[in-house]
Amino acid sequence: MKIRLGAVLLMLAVFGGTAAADHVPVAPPLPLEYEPVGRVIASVGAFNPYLEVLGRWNDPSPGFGYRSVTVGSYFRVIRNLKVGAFYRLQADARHNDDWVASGLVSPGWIWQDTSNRYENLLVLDASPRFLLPIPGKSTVFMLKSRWTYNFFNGQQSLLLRPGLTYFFIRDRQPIAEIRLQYAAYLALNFGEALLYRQAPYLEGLYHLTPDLLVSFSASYQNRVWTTSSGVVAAGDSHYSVNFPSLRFQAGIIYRPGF
Amino acid sequence: MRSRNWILIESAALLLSFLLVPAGFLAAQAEITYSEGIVRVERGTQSIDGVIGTPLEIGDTVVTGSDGIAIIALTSQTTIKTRSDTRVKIDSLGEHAKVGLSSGGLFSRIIGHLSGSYEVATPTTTAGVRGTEFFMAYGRTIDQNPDVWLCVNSGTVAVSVPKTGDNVDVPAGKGIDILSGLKLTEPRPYKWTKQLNWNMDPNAAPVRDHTNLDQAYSDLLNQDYD
Repeated sequence: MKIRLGAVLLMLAVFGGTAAADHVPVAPPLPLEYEPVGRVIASVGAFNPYLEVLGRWNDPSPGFGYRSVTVGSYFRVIRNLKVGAFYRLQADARHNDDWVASGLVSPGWIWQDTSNRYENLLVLDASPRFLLPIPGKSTVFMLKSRWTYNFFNGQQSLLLRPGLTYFFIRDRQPIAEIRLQYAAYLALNFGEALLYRQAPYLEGLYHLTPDLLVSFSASYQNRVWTTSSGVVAAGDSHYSVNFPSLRFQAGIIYRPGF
Repeated sequence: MRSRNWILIESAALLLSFLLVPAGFLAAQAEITYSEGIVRVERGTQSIDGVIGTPLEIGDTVVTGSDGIAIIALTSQTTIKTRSDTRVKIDSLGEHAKVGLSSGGLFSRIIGHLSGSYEVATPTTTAGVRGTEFFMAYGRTIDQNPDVWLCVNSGTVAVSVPKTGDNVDVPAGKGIDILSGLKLTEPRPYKWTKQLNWNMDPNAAPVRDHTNLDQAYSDLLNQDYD
């Protein structure tokens, strides 16, 4: 009798639990993301006009998902500080509220299709950097800090990305670099998790010429999804789930000087 | 009263002496043709103002202050222009002119093709030419000695490091950094050299060169990629 009751309770727990979690997105097995990126960073006095074109190929989903174009400029305020202002046009960016009731399979929940949704963003950057007093004087510490405002949904976020760059120097000129960084994305006015995304980065850059570089990076991305407005409206319980992914980026950087 | 024949003989002898003397000997005395700011000429224990028209002799050292420029006609074919904070010594004149650069920077212009030679020497490096325009200057001291930069505007400059026996020809449009004054690098174009002011005619345009040689070095704090 006791065994039968236990089995019933176990079945209730399993199926009841599954039913209750239908509104909670489930992370897929570690997805791989591939990002080709091209950048032009010019030098005009203290200004660095900037253009970036980026796409993200999600595996196993075919085709490019997220893609963006960024234009703007850095300005060197003092030797150890650059500020920048940029405009970004992006498509297929996913937000918490993109987790919606499917309307087809009740009570199913899906990520809505955002592949053709374009968003405008303002990005302001202030990145202090210092040459570390260690032998060789070839290591730079930089704290990249970026405030982003998304005109699509009014969301504001802050990126804090401390990093170390070691320069390999030959004949007084850098020929390669290796970077170790940690990126923390803070949600300033949205979601239920302050730290909604974080990632350690390892990046290598090689100077083909003084003006032309190639870069390769790998990062372990951790994105936290919190309760969407659709789930709140449906009266379901709140959630906070982590979606990790492995992202590889390959870039080409052109740095003309004028 | 001397005879007419004797006057003819004297004139012919004078003309012949001019023709037989090497061209370089005629220009064996250099002269400051332009100066601006503080320019001094050190001659033995003396130090005199390096004003326009100051004659220069072998052994003289021309020193420019932080605001100083001097343009010097070394020979009828060779003119040099100093940058500020420069010390340049006249080691020899005439057919085989040679100057020694111990600090700062120096533009050299050779008009036509020299029958002799012209050299700019630092304690470790020698740059020799026969007809060209080039710039040579001290850079940062990163290792034991300061770097020496050289870039060529026209012609070719043969650079040698006597201590190591290394040498390289630097063609027009390219430059080299001689690391610590001893190690030759591969000649290549440098963007910063496009800012050099090669003009040596103060009547035509400003002659001051404002090029910041720090640009010659990569600024590791100026590397942004995203």
